Amino acid sequence: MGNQRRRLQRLSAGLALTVGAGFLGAWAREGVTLTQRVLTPHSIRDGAAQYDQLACLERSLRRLVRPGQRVFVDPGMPRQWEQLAYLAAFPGRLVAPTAEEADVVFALRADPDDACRPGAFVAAPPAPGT
Amino acid sequence: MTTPVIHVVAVLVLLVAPGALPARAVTGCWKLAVPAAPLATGVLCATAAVVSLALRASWALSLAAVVASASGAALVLLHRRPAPAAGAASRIGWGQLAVLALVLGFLLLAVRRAPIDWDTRAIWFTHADWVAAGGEGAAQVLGFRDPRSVHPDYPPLGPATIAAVWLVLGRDHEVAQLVLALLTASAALVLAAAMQLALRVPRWSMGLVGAAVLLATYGLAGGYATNGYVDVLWAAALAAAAVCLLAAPAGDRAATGLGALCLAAAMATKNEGMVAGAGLVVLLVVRNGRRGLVTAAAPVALASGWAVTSKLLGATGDMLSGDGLSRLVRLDPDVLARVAPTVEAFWDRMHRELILAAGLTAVGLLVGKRRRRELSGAGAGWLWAATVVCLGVVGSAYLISPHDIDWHLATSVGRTVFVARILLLVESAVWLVVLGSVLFSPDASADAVPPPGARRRHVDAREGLGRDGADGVGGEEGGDRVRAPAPPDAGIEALRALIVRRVAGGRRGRARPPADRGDTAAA
Repeated sequence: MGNQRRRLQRLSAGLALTVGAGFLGAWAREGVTLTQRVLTPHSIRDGAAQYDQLACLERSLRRLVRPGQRVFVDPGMPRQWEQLAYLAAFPGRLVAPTAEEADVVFALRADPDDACRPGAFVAAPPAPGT
Repeated sequence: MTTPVIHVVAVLVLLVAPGALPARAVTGCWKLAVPAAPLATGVLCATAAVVSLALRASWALSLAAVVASASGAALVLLHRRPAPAAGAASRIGWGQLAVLALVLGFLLLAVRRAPIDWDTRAIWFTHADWVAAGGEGAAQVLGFRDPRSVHPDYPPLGPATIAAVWLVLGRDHEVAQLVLALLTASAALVLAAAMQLALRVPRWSMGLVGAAVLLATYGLAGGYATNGYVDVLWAAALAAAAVCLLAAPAGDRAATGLGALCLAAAMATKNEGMVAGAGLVVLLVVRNGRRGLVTAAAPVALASGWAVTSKLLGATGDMLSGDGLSRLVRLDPDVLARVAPTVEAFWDRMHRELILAAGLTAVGLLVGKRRRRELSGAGAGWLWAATVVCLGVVGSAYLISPHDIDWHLATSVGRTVFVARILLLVESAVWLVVLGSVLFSPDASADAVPPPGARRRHVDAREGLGRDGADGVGGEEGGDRVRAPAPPDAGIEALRALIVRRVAGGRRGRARPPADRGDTAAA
């Protein structure tokens, strides 16, 4: 009776161990696969291109808008870019709630893919009536 | 990623060096201090950020003061305190850590994908700019109420560590991504090491399981461990804290120190980590009483310091901006209507881990409950309790949130359940090790009833105080000492009795030693 119980216990433990190890192994493989997927040339190139565009956005804002100036970001640019531009304005620059109240309006004058082209971003005083 | 290799080395050195001494003082051994050093550096940086804000002081000055004070205190502590017993930390080997670090090295290659995700730039890198601006500048921003909210109330561990590295290497977003990825890697490595603290099994088997848990953690993270987010960082740190403080023998110095450090890191990283950490503190107090409060004092002080300082400066979070909490207390129908989609989203994200952990726990409780207690020196339900607490606090956040429930779940639930998924993963891994021990250990049955002496030693081990005055669970030798012996097999025993009788018959008329007489009588 005791032997049978022990055999049953070992059988249960073996089955559970096999299934559990299988699942854990599958998840571990996901970790490897995921890393491999991130490391494809396409993924890295795509990420690098977007990174450069965002870096150009930030650099342009800091170059074109002087510390102390009130800036309004043109809502015409991609929404996330608009928000990141406001965040890049810190520290030193002030955020104007409307274009009229701003010293300069920061805007993108090119396709987002060409954000690093010279002149892609501009910062100009608000046009009258805006 | 274009960051030069020299920058990678520099970031690693900058993360390890400031925290190494404090980590050594807290954990009592270098084998845990080295992998935990980046987390300790992060905790020091978070403390410096709170000091800088509270005193409106320069960031560099605050950081230098905090690091110097902590290193000085660590030196004094190391000089005055006697060398501790090896304890559970003696089970960890440098070779084992090296293998885990190698696995991590492969996973960290994913930082080559540039940091372009939203939270990475809009929250963590922006907050790092705030911290780097010093207390005065950061105080102005925290109080600035803007519809483009970027969670100014989020705790500062990640941004403060980035700002500290920027002081030396200059402001660079790829360096910042590397900082957060290495902090996360440190938390994951500590989690794998913590499992070895919690289970008295051979190094190679725990090394294998630890490596699998590391890979699986990065697998379920889905890229969030290396893209500049902090969700996996706080989740892994909290899971490591739960393993050290709830699943390891109570009173083990290394486990307690490492657990407190991880708890501080989790609570100082994100609001969810802060609340889940508070839940863990409650469990710790239930388990250890007043000693648990002492362990949790420093992490709770750091988290409270940030919460009070940022609140005084006007930082507000979205969660408490509405009246969700009071409506939850009143059991408002609108709040209750959010329960079903929340539970559904949780189930959708973590049913695999839940089913596996539940299945292994059920089988484990049937065939290896006592073995687990022998191997770990702690009860089996604590990691489940931690999982329930974490799910409870994260679920409550969705109930009281002012946002549309579908939008809120869609944008965040994949990350907020990391902690529960990792805890379930660890619970499964622990049961796998226990079941492996039941299956392959030839000298012990699964749930054999130990003789009274063994039971007594086992209780000593649970209490963290062995008979020999050491911690009672240190080293694999300790494991053999407290293991319950197998019950005598009836067939072998009968054969042995027969041989003894024959031998006794051959010696008839001669005196027999007392032991033989006893054996014969028993037969």
